[in-house]
Amino acid sequence: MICWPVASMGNEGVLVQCLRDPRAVLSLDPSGWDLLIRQGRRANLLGKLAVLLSDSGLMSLLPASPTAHLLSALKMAERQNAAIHWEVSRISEALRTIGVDIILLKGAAYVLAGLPSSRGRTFSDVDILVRKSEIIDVESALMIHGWQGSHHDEYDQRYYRKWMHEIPPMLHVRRGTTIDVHHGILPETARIQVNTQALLDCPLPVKGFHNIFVLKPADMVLHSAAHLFHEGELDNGLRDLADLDTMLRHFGVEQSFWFGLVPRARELGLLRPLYYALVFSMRIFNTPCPQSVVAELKAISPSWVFRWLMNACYTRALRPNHASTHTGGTWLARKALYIRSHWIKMPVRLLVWHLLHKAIKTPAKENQFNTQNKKLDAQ
Amino acid sequence: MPEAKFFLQSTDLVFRVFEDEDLAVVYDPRNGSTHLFSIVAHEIYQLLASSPASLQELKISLFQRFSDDDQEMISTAVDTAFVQLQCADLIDAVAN
Amino acid sequence: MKVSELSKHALFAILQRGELCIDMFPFVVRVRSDISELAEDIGRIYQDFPVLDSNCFTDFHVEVSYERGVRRWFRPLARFYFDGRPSFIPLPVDQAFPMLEWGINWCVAAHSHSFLIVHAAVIERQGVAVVMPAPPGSGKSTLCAALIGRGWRLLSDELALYDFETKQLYGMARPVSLKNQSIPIIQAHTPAAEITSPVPDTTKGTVALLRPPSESVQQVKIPARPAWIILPHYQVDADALLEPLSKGKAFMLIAEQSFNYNVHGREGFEAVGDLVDSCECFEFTYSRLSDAERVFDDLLARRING
Repeated sequence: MICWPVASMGNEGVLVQCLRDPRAVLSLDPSGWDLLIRQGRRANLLGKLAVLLSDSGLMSLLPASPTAHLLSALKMAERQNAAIHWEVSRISEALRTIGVDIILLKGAAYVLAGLPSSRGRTFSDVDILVRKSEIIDVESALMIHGWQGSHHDEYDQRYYRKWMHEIPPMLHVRRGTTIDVHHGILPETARIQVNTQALLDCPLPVKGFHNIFVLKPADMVLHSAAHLFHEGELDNGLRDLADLDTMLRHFGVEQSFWFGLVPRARELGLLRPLYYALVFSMRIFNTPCPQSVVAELKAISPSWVFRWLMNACYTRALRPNHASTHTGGTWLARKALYIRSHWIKMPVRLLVWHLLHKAIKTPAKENQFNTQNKKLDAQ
Repeated sequence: MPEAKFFLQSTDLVFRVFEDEDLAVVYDPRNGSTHLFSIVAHEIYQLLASSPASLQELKISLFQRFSDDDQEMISTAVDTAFVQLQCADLIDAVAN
Repeated sequence: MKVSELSKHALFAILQRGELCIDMFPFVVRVRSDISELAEDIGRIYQDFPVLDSNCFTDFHVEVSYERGVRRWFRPLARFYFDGRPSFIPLPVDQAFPMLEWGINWCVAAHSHSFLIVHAAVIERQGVAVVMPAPPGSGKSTLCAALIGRGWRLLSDELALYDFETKQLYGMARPVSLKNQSIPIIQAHTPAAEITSPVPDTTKGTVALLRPPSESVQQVKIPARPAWIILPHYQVDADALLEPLSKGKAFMLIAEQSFNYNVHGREGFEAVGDLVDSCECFEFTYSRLSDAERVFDDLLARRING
């Protein structure tokens, strides 16, 4: 039996403390602020922190230098919000000709639905969900309007198309933006079979567009939970959990949301991710959750061994991936979750093949460094 | 056959003209793009903002407006500005 | 306390601990390094800069350290880190100081959206400033280095920080980056100038860094009011020629040379418009630095005399 040290609340870091209670910033000294800004930047939550501080009426009380970084992150987020609107309008235009409706997922959905989780948030690409039968038409229409496929490696193509739940990301030649086209919210090869049809059947329309939709509240929360608790790379884990917390608070104002949540999770096959989402959101962000739902959670919880392991892993991995929050076991925790995510995405024989292939290919990180170096050279 | 009429894709463009110059910079709030146009493009924009018009109608308006200037020169300037606006996705033909 | 007040030994020790906090107004940069030659370069070229207590708030945590592994002993490499994350490919360790400078430029340009940041040199005299936007090959760093050797104040040779509210410019007054032929030219032009030993074979050619004038560093908190936008063109054997540049074109030039124009949206558009409106705009072709000094002095005299 592996023994994990029990993570104490104190190790969660100043960022989580301040997200939970923005007034905590008032007692920070300069080195505390230094750490807060760095953790916030690493976790891609600086913009969100700025929004919380602004909403709490605290911005004018803060020291000038950290405030500049908060405002900088906010500006970037606002700019990206505006850019997402335009991007979605171009996508809508491109797909109008083939009469296909699409559902926006994740960040783009938060923006177009005007949700609080869009505020202060940055985005890297647009994710859309379409029916599997319409994927070829969608891909063609996008290509006609300037998007090009990426990942030309034959293996990568097969990885995405056959095994995962999306086609390889497409890049727009002029705007440089990326679109991820999904036909499911979890890979086809996943051990959990999600009822995608039920998801596609009742989305909500988006104002101003005929062919753009978003998931209804419970589905949006469940998708976010499924994504987070199946994801291997958890650099944005805390941010995604913060999105979940914001959504639960926003949608949770309506009692009907809570009544329908567990039954809908059951219908979609997403009880386990919902369990983790609620448990960790309550634990890390004190998300208010009705007693009735907490009781239902007990009924759907995994065995105590899993609970203990998952707790040990996620409590560490959901902290900002910054040296200041690393404790004994952090590296192992992140590695374990990375492996788990692949394990639940694929059957074992495919997993071994996939990991072998990745190990042989040139690491992508060097390309990232080269790109950054090129930018610097351009100065 | 009646000439095609054109309309503005956005009436929210922000123009900035500099004194004594024949160039204008334009900001498109829809997508954050910035363009450099001739000031004739500004004139065309203002005309189309009130109603769609054909290329010929636009030229005639400007001939009347700048009656002192050479019509050939105005016509060329309008053609150029028109292309600039089209390339920037700012005007489109009215569907029949 | 200034960097110059630290002994060589103390400076290197503080650097190794990652506790060297240099005040590069309007930012504070914390530096870590285990490279002794880099410590010497910092000690020399940053000597006039204030050092702050390590408990201060720092805007950017940077590190330039030896790459681990076998290479440490045979043609060693150094890598730049931003807040503990490696960035960029490793380079030969003799490029450590240029790498630190490029790295700090990147940190500022990528994260400081409270300013409009333009890739341009800014120099100031008698309260008014020249902005020289920097497309490649313009020779702006050489021109900048020459003019600050003749009494102009250095704000920056790379990053013009435009304040939206005050409509004035800041610059950090950091070392000026010289390339290839500029190095001997400036050495001849300003014999008293302190320049690092040239480092060959970088991606930009041979590179050296010029120590900023003490007065420029002392006055770094004083912003400058922009009065001229001048696009320089170095052309062999050319006579000096100052020609008006249309404001529309100057606008597009500034916007294109800006690192974060797009982030600012409408506000950026209006700010660049205001900047261009408030300046006389020129293109300047030259080959002799003495011509450049004369032309810039004439512009200043015309301005002062109304």
